[in-house]
Amino acid sequence: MNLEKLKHWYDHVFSVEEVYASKVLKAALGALLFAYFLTFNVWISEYRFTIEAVKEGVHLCWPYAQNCGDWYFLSGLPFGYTANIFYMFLFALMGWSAWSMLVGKWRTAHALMWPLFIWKTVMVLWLSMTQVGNYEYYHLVFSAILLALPHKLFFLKFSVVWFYFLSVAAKIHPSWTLGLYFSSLKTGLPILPDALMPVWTNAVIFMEMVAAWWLLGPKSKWQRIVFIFFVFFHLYSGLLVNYRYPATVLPMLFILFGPWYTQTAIPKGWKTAFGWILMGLLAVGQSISHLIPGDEKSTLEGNFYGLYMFEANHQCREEAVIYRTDQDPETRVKGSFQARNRCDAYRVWFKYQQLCKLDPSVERIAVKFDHSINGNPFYRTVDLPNICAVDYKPFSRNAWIKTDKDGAELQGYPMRNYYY
Amino acid sequence: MPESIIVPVIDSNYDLAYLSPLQAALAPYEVWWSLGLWAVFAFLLFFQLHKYLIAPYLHA
Repeated sequence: MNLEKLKHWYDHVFSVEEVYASKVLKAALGALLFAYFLTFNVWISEYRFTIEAVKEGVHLCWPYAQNCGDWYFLSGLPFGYTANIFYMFLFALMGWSAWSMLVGKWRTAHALMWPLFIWKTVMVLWLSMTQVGNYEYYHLVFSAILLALPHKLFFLKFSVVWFYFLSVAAKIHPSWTLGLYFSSLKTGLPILPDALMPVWTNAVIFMEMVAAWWLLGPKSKWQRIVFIFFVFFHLYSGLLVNYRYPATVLPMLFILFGPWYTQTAIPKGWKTAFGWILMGLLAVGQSISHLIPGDEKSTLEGNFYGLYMFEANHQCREEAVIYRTDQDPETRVKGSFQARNRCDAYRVWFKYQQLCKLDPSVERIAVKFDHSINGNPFYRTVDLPNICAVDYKPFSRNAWIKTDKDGAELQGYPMRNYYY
Repeated sequence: MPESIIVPVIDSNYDLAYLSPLQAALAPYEVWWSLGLWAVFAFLLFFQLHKYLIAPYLHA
């Protein structure tokens, strides 16, 4: 296959012709690259991705890939340079891709983003559970569409609306229906008065569930109003979540639905199957937490397989007693007053499982874990004589994580807490 | 930052997360409100699936 044929094959297989013909898709590719810079700027110094973290047991694997640490190969400072070498190589690819965009070599710019996408997908979905920010899910889906799928413009627009819609599945809960997430905070919601909390939170539910679909309609007054709402919504949410989330979503929102917006016809034909399958997978991921019995906001089982922004305001207290051969028991106590620290029993389990594996002198670890959501009482959701002896099932109910409905004992009441 | 504090009993001397008057008024109906929202969610899901996945082929 000569080079010209290869270029033609590449353009055809990944529908790159669509990019050549659309200033919107070209701008979207730029926005995508910007988000890769944001991502790897953090990852280059992410200790939890390194082999040193695995040796120390402070990495975190997904429940469906609990031995992910076996695959780590990067060493970070101050222990080694491989992580920095690797991420500076990615930096060079990003710089080259950015330059290619600038000089109009869109195939090169597009092709150079594949290694970025593949590495990010591997890390986010397989090798680490530490990068489960919802903006990463947005970014990966935008990447998959722009790099690989046909009907890029339609599916990019649809995916933004689909994300808004699916996120409502995480919000139909007193956290949002009554606004308990924010009224449990000492600082409440920024700017908006606490007395009307359910009004604000239900307005967001309405906009994401109903009005977001108007973004895809004809360029009318309503389409403009909803677009402007979501621009302000993301700017407002930045008051809590800082730059990262709006920096990933707002550029794409602006490019796809802003001044350049024109309605895109619904595509037909077998080539649409890839896009619909991707949208279907997002729906499946979102539904897993609802299919596992119990309040997923408390157990957090399946919570991270879909969107989960501000799903509940968490507080917890953890007490572990480590029994070692020929030593006095060691007690470790830890508490979290931070609303967005998810207080996930799985993370507690995973952390102590590493200790059980790494330290041969450990005989058993007794763990008590008290968890409160949305200002409701603390319940003892975990009370195990030996956490080393239990397993964690990734897609079904783990009976050792209790809720108030299945007998977790009330321990007391939480103070209003902080988001930071 | 302060640590998480567990207060053994409901005590007004502590800054506990009490419901606002509006929240307290709405709380008894929250289950029904949630069910209504799920109904709208399900309706919209099927409506949009029909619009984007089925209708284009029906009217081809």
